[in-house]
Amino acid sequence: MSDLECAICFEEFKEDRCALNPCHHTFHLECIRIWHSYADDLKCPTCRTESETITLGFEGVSDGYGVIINLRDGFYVRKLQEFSEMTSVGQTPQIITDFNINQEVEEEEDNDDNEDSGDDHRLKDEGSGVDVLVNEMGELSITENTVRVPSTTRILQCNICGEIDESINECCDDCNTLYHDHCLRSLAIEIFQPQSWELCVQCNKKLGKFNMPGEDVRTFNPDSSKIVNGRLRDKNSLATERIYHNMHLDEFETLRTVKYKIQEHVRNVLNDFKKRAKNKGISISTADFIFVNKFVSRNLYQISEYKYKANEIDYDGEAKKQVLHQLILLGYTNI
Amino acid sequence: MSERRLLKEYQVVKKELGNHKNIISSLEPIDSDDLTNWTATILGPPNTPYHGHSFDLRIHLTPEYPLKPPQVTFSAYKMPHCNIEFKTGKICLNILDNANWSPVWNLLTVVLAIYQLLSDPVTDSPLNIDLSNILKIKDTSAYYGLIEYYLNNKSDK
Ligand SMILES: [Zn+2]
Ligand SMILES: [Zn+2]
Ligand SMILES: [Zn+2]
Ligand SMILES: [Zn+2]
Repeated sequence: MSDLECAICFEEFKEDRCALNPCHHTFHLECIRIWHSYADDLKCPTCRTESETITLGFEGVSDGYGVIINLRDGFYVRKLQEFSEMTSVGQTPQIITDFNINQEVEEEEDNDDNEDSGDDHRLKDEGSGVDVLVNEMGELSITENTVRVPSTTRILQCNICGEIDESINECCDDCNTLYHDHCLRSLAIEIFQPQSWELCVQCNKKLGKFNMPGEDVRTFNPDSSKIVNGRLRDKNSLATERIYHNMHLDEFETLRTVKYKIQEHVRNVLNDFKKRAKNKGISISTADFIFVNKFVSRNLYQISEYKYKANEIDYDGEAKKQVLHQLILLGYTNI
Repeated sequence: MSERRLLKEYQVVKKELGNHKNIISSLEPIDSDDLTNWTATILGPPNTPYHGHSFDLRIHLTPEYPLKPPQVTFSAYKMPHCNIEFKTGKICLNILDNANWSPVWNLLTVVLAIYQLLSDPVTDSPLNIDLSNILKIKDTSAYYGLIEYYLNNKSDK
């Protein structure tokens, strides 16, 4: 195998070569990130050394710019030029070690009550985020322990499944939220409103088509995202839980079943309320339905300690109480 | 990633197979239109009871290859070996486990690793208990004898 080829895909390197540290084996960024999402650890595929960081812009080092991704703690970036200037005058380079996204996000996760209401404010946070992986290397700069990035940077992530991939194809022009059309369709079917799939889950506006931009622009939104093993994920998606808890596939499947069973209780209760409301001439909006469904399901899921305990927990009763409470908070007072 | 990589591997195999003539007598796709199913024939290594015999392997590459390991088996009822299940041909080899697999390996390295396994049976993870027990007590003549018995008689099945 020659040095000019990526050992994962066997293709030649062009611009997208990156190096693992400390072993300096190089791969395409995309190839090694896909591998990290498959592997249970961060070992280099070539030499099995545990990787700590990735250096992007491998060839660009001479131009003075590069990006280093810390694989365990999240992302950090720095100008390699500054780095080499500092080292050349004998200063200890200041590596941004307290820049730890996982910690930040986890703390937030503990007060779970705010989690869903946070969704509504997600846009205000956009652009002010500091925790970003960027490929537009020339535009990066650092001030002390903070990293500033261009405010145009966005992570292209489906709001429902949390995956970041090239098949995201629906976009809300109002609130900028992105979706896979297949995720929207299955959600719409799940709430028995198959026609509603073309509406934004956040703001109910009709969605437009989304075309992937050519350049790599990404944003990190700590309200809904979480970095696990250096991978940005939707905080609440099953895939995140799987990676985060380092679970094997069969455990993951059980988890999915548990979630599904609990959600079923909540959905049934919600549908009863919906019918009752309809008889009184009140209609519950799709966004509210989804919100309450998500919120209560997650609460029950946590009470159950991620297991399905039908003998110990009265899911229907608990769901009724919580759903009613949430509906009243949302202004459906006459229900 | 998968499809382009399979084509590349096909080229690598074609180019490099000649360097391993004494080990691998063939390695090719079963049907040249389908690079996901391969067959290989390896020769019994010298100084082992397998010398003078040849063994067929079936290799299946799933859509997740090279992120997941290939599925490799010997023909059923053909391979008496301490880490191979005789009646299925199933192979117990660490690099073929999800947890130990690396995407930088390829078909050639996998087949070479299996060849190596023939010379270096591992008694800790046996799929053939009889052979493993004989090996553990280091009874070489019984080991050779049992394998030869398997190869000459039982494998006609
Ligand atoms: Zn590659
Ligand atoms: Zn390495
Ligand atoms: Zn999606
Ligand atoms: Zn919207």
